[in-house]
Amino acid sequence: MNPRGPSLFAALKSDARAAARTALVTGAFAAITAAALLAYHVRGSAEDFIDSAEIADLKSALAADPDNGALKIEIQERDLAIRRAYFAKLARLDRGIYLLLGGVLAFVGSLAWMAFARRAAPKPGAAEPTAAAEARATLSARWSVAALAVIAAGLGAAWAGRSDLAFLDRAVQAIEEAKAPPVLAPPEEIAKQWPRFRGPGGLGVSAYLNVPAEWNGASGAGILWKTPVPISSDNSPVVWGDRIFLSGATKKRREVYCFDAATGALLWTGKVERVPGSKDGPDDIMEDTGYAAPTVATCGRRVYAIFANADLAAFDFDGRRVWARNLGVPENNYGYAASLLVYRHLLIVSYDQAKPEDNKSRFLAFDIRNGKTVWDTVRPVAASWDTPIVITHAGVDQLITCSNPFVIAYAPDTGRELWRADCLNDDVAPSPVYAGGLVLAVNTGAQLSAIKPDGTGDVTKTHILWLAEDGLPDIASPAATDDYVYLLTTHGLLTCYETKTGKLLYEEDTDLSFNASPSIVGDKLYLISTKGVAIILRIGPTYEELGRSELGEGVHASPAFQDGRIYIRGKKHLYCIGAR
Amino acid sequence: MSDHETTPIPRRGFMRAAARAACALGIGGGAAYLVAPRTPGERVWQIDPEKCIACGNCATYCVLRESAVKCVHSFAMCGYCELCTGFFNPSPNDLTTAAENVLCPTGAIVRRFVEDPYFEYTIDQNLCIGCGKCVKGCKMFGNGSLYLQVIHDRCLNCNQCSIAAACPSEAWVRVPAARPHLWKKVT
Repeated sequence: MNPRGPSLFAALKSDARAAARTALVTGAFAAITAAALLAYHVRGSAEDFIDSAEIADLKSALAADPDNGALKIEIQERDLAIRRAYFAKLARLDRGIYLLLGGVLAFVGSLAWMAFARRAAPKPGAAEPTAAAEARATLSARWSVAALAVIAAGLGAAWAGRSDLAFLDRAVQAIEEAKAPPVLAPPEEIAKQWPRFRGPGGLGVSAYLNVPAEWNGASGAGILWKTPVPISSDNSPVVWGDRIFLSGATKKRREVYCFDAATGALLWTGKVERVPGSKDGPDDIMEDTGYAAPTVATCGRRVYAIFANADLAAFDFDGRRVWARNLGVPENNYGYAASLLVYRHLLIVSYDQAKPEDNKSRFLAFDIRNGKTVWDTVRPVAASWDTPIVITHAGVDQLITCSNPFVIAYAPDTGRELWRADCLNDDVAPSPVYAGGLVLAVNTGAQLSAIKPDGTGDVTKTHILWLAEDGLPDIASPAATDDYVYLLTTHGLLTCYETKTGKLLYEEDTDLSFNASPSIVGDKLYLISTKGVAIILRIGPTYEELGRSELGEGVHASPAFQDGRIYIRGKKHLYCIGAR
Repeated sequence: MSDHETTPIPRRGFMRAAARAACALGIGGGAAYLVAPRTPGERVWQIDPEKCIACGNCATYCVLRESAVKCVHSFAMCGYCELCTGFFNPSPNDLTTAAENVLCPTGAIVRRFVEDPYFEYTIDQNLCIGCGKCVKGCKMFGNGSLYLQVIHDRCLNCNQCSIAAACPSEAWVRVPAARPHLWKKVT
């Protein structure tokens, strides 16, 4: 024993109160530091800093008033303040982590010290338990066992009582489907449906001749039902069996809708959210295009949608999201608008953007089962807004695309280029059509070109059968039969050509404006104006109007035709036209 | 024989000491693994600049507080433009380095006059956060001499890279650690 008594260290080592106080102080320090770090972490994200709305607004104001010196100084000051705040936050977080680490270590050390100071000499041989204590312990044990049994029984009942245990089956099914060969609808089934923009083949041709030719939105005559669409957008209805699909989006919300064809009831809304890499926006989109201009597509088992921010998603027919991915916002000055199409097990996405020399435009095919990229072809073209079509010419399937400056045909299963023709210019929005063995491609900046699709390489000088320059449309796609080609401009000029020769047959000013593409039903041509006025014409070499019908609501989308029915998306409602 | 020599180590004491030793070994081993140079057979993450669309996800999806992705500059490709669209806003108010004219949110691009009408642009990597705004601007009107790369003294080389998972253009690729960059070349 030290004759001078215990040293200060030894005394402190045994001082349980000092240890407890130290633990309290260090614990509180660590907790406060952790809370402060958390508060810093959640206060303002890097995104807020990178895309500061405040600076963007100030810069916009300066663009409108470029000589405003005070505004320039304000931008500089705010920019400096925001940068300082951001980097100060990073520095504080860095320092804070070391402080937290030190605090936690001190806390743990003081707990160890406290445990040491409070240690007690071991007491071998515990006191004999009394009968009362034994009874209490036994009772407590019984209650514990009973409580556990009740919890287990409750969980078991909840599990067994679940009405829908199918989610396990679905999970297994999804895994199996992702590996198994895809289940594809036969061509004859697809031909009866309206699975994509402008129906089977994308040609705007109805498989049914018994569709209505007269209706009135104001009186309700000929309207089977009318149902509101949650978000107004300009994409067109797609129909498979008893289900109608649409999509809608704002800058922040992206949704897919499924309606009951019998009643118009909204069956489900599929939300496209939390897609990896996805961002809201884009900010600089044209109002007329909106955030959901592309029409959805279906393979008969799933529906696929793409939005202006390039979120691409697949839902099954019950509204469950199967897969989703983001392709990155394309550089597109009006906003992304190309619709989707399904070819066998491939979901085809036209992803044109920027300028031809940028080499950013791509044509992509995804596996409908899992969304994985099957092929990805770089295209030497500018941004475009049209939707490709698949044609079968001489027994060979070809994927036809239009963009500035080329019409290009690809092999749809590999993305390999088959032929190209240099015949387009400027902004290309009308989609190509195929009739009379000819591919017909048009836009306002160029001409209407009739191309024989049996060439290879550059066919510009060898396979363009005829060209025409009157009535070139800027939005609406052409409609064509083996005998006649119809062009419809936004300002309502309808132009008819002879398909085989390109001879101009007539031009007629309808005095209406159009965004929806014309459609063919047997020997009739259906035009629906932006104000919802439908004109029905006889297909032929002269202009012969059969009648007009008014929906009473603006229409920008192209109609979908089914057995005895027309589905029209108005600016606010989805309409079903048909006989009761 | 003394007590000290005969007293066995208590079981708890032995377990405690063993656990401490295991922790120390784990921490030491982990640190050694992190600082050890990569062997040539290993692969690391990198961005393929030809596929990158400068979407901005690199700045916000990295698990590090400050992204491991930064902009690099190929001087051999650069046009040394006076109106650099990677440096200036579209339609800048004036061709000066004032905040109202520049694109970079952190001021990480240093602009230096060379001779009329040429300017040199250098990336201050301490300030760059990999947002890709300059990359996008440079690609838009320039030749793409500014581009993004993973900086390997920052990258943790996570197995499941969170930026790669969020990359919309699938530009994130694994490259051999012996050749960890995908530099742009003048063709």
